[in-house]
Amino acid sequence: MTSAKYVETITGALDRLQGTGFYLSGSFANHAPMVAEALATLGYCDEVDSWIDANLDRRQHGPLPRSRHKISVRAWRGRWDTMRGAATGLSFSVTNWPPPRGGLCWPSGGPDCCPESGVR
Amino acid sequence: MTHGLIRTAHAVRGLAAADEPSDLQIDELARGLAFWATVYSPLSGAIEAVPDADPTLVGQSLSQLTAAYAGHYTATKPSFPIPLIHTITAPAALRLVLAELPADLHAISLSAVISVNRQLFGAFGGRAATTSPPNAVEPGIGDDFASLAALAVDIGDEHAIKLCEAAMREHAVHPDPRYLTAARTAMDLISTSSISRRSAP
Repeated sequence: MTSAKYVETITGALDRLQGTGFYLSGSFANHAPMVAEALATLGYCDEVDSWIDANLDRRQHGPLPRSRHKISVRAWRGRWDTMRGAATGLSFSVTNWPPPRGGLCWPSGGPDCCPESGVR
Repeated sequence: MTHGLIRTAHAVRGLAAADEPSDLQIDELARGLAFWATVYSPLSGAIEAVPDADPTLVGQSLSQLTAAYAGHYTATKPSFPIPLIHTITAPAALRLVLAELPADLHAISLSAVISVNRQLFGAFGGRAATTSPPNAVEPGIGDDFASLAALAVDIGDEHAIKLCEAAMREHAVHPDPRYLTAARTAMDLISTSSISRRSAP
């Protein structure tokens, strides 16, 4: 179901946005990663780069929070599994890709149609 | 304002769609969850349990919720167009996350988002729709969504794009004319307010 271009597009966008934090200056949320993914879903993969150009140009992005306590990969996996079992219940984790399939296809549209048959 | 959930949901959808997710996608999920953790604050009142919240009916209830708040959005035509958009995009984002969560978390998540919506609606001057929604879904509405998406991309505003995508997706799950009308209304309000911002000294 996956479009390689969709994954390539959002990965490229996330790469460009790596240095941006959770907030713009002030308390407004940084929407750029969400919008890049929404654009790709709508079938506008080719517009994502220019949208990010404009966003980085116009918005004053705050920094990412400083990392204070490093978590080892081993500890992270342990915590992730605990979280997975207890708190969030996410049904996928870094250790059991790929996630289960079947529940995410829309009746029409969706990530798989980017860019050929999204909304345009 | 509901952005922890929404950012996480976009990351989750990207991951679920990828056969081999990139490290950056996994990192984005971690950032979404971390952001969510930093902004989490309990609701001021207790979460009202949804009576008879059958996990299998949660999807339908989410559709009723997003369609109802889409109708309220159009009825309100808020002078600050952005905040009330989240009464549509947040439950729509929850749907994406629920696809990856065990069934026993679905009903309580629905209850939580209903309470969040109610509080946002009150806090940002929402006015309830008084007319009953039109039943008929016009033929060709998919084309209308496509042109609206083109307009949202042209406007470039974050919330115009996100609402358009969420409204379209909710419409695909359960067709209802209120989604398109709300997205159109928001697009008008956002483009008017951004024009006035641009022309301000």
